[in-house]
Amino acid sequence: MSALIMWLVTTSLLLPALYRRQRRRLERANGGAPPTSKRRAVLVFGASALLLATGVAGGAYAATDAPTNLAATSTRATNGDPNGSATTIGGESIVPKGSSQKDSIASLTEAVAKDRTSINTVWLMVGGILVLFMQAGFALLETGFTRAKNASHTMMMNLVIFALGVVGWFVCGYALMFGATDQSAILGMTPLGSAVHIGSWNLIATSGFFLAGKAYDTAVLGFFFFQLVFMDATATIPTGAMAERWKFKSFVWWGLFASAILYPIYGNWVWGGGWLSQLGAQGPKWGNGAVDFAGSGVVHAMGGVAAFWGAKALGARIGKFNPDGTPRAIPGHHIPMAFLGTFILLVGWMGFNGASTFAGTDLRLTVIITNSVLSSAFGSLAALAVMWKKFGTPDPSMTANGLLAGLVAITAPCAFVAPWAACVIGTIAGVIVVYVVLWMDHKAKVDDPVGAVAVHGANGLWGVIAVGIFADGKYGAGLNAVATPVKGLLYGNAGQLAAQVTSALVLVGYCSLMSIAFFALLKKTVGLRSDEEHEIIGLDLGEMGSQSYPDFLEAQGSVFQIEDDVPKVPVGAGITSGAAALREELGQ
Amino acid sequence: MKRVQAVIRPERFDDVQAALQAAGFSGLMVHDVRGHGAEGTPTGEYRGVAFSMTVRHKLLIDILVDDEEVEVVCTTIKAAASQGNPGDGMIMLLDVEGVIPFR
Repeated sequence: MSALIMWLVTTSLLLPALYRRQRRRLERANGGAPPTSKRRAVLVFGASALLLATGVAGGAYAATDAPTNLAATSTRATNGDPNGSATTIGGESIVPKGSSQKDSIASLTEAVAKDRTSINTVWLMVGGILVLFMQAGFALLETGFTRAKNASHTMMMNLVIFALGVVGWFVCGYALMFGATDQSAILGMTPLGSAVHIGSWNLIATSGFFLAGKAYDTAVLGFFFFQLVFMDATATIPTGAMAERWKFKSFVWWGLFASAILYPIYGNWVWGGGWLSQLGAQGPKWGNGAVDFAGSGVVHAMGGVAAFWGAKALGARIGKFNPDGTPRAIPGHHIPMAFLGTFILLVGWMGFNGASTFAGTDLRLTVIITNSVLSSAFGSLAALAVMWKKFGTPDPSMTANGLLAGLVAITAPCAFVAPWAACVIGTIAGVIVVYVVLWMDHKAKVDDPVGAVAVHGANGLWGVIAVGIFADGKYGAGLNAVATPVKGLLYGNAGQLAAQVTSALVLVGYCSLMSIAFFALLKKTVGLRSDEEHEIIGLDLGEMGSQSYPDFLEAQGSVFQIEDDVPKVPVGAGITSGAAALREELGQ
Repeated sequence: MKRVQAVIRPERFDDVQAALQAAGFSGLMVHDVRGHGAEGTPTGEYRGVAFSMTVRHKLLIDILVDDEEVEVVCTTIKAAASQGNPGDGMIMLLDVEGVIPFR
């Protein structure tokens, strides 16, 4: 109150001063006194007088009223509550009261428990919404790194994969992955059912199809949504590596396959209580079993490895490799778009990693978010440095890839490592991403327009292994039913590294087998690759039936080096010879 | 009547237009064109793969003038657009048999 009065009085005094100053400035500028505007002067001094009067009146009111006010109610009513320490509203406690002391304690306990669940659920939803926005990041990144003639096609894949993913996840993906989970007791969630198992090793969960029965529950649906957006990240990764040549009809099947089968099975093994996560509690008793905090492996490496086999099965874009096998650059058409996508991914990633605590009451989330930011910064700087040293320019698109590589690599270890380790993990990720991109182009000869294999595949696996090296034993007690916290090789636990390497190898083996088989099947049935003619004119016109940028002629074809591939028009066809002929044509 | 076609660097356009305006030639057409001449081929680098930028962005200015004005126009354009480097541009002169304006 007193601050408001001070403000009113000060403003009322300042207004005329400002007015005079402006007049003096005008005088100097015009070299003489400007014509006086009577209306403006009245306005200024009138407003000033009004403010002053309000301030004085308010001050007088506060002076007479304040003492009684202070005595009557809590501090909140008079002075505000800048520290958020008040526990009453209008004199009433916000905690429900019982009739006896025993009742009071019981209702207090219940209120605290409910608040805990609410805080956890709200944090989970906020995180999930942030991750959902990463779909926009992926869409912009991939479209920016590809050519204008395929922009609608690439955007469509990114949008439709979301919708297809939701369908697959709703039908059976969630049920297979999390149908047997009770890891979210923190949300007040009841386990849905049991798993298919061999002995005590869980292989796959089998309840919650179509979100029926017990799954119709606030906590389960919250968890369903949160896990859904993670799955969509996996499904969308190959659309980048396979962009500009993937037949849309074939892509649609991928969306359903990835969300309903490919992603949930391995996901169950690590996150749904499956056998990889059990490696710590039984059998070899390796640390906490396979640990992947937010999904370097489950989400990113799964998408990246599938992207590799998909891109390999598709073959390179026309014009990507010279006849002698050396790669050619096909620059993306909109680098600022790709950079906006990168920033959106960075922001979304804070929910991806931060909310993977499933709990706003788990304050480890600050460590997680800081670690993620550190790793992304070091990743981008490392990629920038390597490119600058190697090729003489700080390559923009690789620097963006480096930032994402740092994020992918820290996704699994973010909760288990110290900040210094996050920096090391990010730096190594930035170097890995550059060399894997170069390897893809120069050695493997697999065409990946956006670097998805290098960013998500290679660094996803690096992130999984990094947990086994850098985990410092400060967090994760009780994880996967092992009482001790997660501790890596550097802190004296080789078992955790063994579990991490095993889960990485299983991931590569499982995902390769499934993807190779799936893409081979697609090739045999609906076909994998767009028609050559469509690829040349652009998939926007060829498959989508419309262009992304109809107002820009140049968008219809690349101006760089690809002219060999464009059908030649015979020289002289359709040209009117001379102005006379032109006039004749015009009828003159 | 002549059609004066000048290829210039895009960044010189403002100066060229101002000079022409000052010299009394207010009407012109501008085209975005791509091409290459004597300036050589710079090399770009994208994700670790080198590529040559064989064609570069230029502007093509079209002005219709009477025969006796050709020299003034050409001198004006050249003075405003030239920086003494290869690739600055060139001027082409074409005969125009007639113009049919309409509105």
